[in-house]
Amino acid sequence: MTVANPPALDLLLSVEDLRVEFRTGPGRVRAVNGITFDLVAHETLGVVGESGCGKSVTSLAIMGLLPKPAGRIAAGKVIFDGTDLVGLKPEEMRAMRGRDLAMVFQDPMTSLNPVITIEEQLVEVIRAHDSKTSKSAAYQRATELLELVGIPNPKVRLRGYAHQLSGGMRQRVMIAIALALHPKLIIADEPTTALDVTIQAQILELIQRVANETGAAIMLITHDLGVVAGMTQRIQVMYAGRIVETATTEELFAHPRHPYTVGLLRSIPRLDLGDNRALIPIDGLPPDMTRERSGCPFAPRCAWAIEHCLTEDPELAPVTPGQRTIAAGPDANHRVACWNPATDAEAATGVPSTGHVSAITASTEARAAAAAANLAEPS
Amino acid sequence: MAGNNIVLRQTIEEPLKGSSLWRDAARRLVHTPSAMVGLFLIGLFVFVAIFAPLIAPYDPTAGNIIHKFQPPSPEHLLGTDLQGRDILSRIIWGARASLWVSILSVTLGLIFGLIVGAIAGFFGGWVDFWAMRMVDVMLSLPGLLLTITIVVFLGPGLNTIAFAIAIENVPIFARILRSSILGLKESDFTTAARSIGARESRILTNHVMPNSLTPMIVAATLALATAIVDAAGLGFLGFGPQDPSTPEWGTMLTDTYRYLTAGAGFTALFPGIAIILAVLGFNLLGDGLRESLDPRLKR
Repeated sequence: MTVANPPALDLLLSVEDLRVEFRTGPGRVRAVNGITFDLVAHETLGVVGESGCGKSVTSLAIMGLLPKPAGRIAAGKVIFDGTDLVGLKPEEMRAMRGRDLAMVFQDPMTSLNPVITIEEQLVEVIRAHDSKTSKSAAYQRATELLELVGIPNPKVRLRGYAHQLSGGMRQRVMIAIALALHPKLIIADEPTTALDVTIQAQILELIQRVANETGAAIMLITHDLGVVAGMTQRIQVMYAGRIVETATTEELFAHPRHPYTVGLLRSIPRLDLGDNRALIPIDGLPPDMTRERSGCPFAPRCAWAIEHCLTEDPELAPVTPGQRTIAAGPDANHRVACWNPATDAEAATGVPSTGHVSAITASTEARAAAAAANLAEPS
Repeated sequence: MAGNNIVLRQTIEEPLKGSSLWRDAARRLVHTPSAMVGLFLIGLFVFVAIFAPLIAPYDPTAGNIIHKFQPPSPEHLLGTDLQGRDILSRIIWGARASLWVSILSVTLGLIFGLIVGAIAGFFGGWVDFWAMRMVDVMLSLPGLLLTITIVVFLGPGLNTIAFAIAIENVPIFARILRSSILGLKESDFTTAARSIGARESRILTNHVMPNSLTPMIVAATLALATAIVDAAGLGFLGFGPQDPSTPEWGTMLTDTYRYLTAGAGFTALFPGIAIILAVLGFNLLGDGLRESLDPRLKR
């Protein structure tokens, strides 16, 4: 597959055929199964999928923070600003973390050290990369950072501890820590999942604002389509450790093609469409990632499945056949990995048009086998 | 407008002033009645031990055999033992022995336990494996049997008792520290610190160690209680101070247990009560500390 970008855009991150495995008791879990994607500077990318689809593992792999010794990058490249991060020595990778790429974690309640002050934690990141920075300069910078993320009385807060802050405030501090050295890429892994709804909106607005102000690219990982809808330029839908569909945010919401994306969209209430349609859940469970399988991983749960889906795994390819792939940037094209993508009409109803008989329903044996395979080893 | 601002600032600053994690824990501890009872008992114990020469009414080693087994009286508040020595004075002086043994044994145990646990937790791999197998072996030996063996080997006396109890404590402390380090190494905030490029050495000193201290504080407090019981037990079995006239709570029980049925029950009762109160004090404080330092109870 040829991946090309208009020359005007700076390619910031290029992930090529990344595969991540975890050693577990019964076998290897293939958490990420060969994903390829690009991110250009200043871009905001949403990565969507259900629990266990490999979103967080992808971000940890990029950061070089996979839990050791269980997790490892089995294959692929992570090229950041021209450097392949996969081959870096631990010390080189450490020097890049925080300075070039930073991360905001899911749970602000546990991501701050409870026994040291906010100041120590902020000054830590500033001085971790440049020990020549004087303490007073680092303190000054820490105050500015807290102001930037909207924390009142920064000087007082710096002396305080994590437990004296609310969840939203703590996430603001985490964002301030991530921003401290002007990284080019900030990976936000479910940054609002642990927060209540009103705070979620504030934090998302904050991430968007600081991204604009500092020019950092954002990779926003979430299971919540509502979160990405408002603030990302491009979305990538993941299922079973691979990317099944990617498009600009508008395009994806308007013309979802992959049955899984359709399912995700039809399983959340939409206020903007102004109707009271029943929600359609996606039946079944994600596949067992410890076993090799043939065919599309979503096929056992898919109403659109045809015979082909059970035998061959579809590649991510442009929706319009023959189109050149543009992997990132505002002109990125709509690509889907599906043998029998949904049409706009089908996407609107959330079910395949009448007359289509799912290959799965047709071959009930295959379905039973797939179900048995899923149940045999519950993860 | 400006005035409003100032007022607002003050109200926000007020609760934050000097409010640290340890201070919060101390405040919670003060509001735990049982812990305060424990602290009072420990305070009494330590006070008595330090000021024994000043508060003991009689010389604990000198007695008049004619006055043996006198029941409690205004003259001898807790009576006299088989050699006519004042039991109260012996208990007061005995507190010194118990305090010395418990502090020495826990300090020694902590030093070696922390070293073993920290090495096992930080380095992991085969170092961890063998360190923990050694710990398993030590824990599989019955505690008292191990300490008796050590004391027999090194000769009786308070210092060898303390050393033996310390050896018994090493695997316990090592295991607690190792497990909390293992948990903390994978905790969200160490991952977060790693994600901003903090060095591993800094993560260990700033993030892992301070957080693993709280379970150690609790374990050490409870170990002080166990040390007092163990010391008394070894004293009772005859491994106490070589000079039998040295006041030691466990030895005091040995001296008198033969006369329990002969109407001299109080001679064993009072040292027993002293042991119970000292142990109870450390246990109550330990439980209170466990609760007030527990991060899950923090808001």
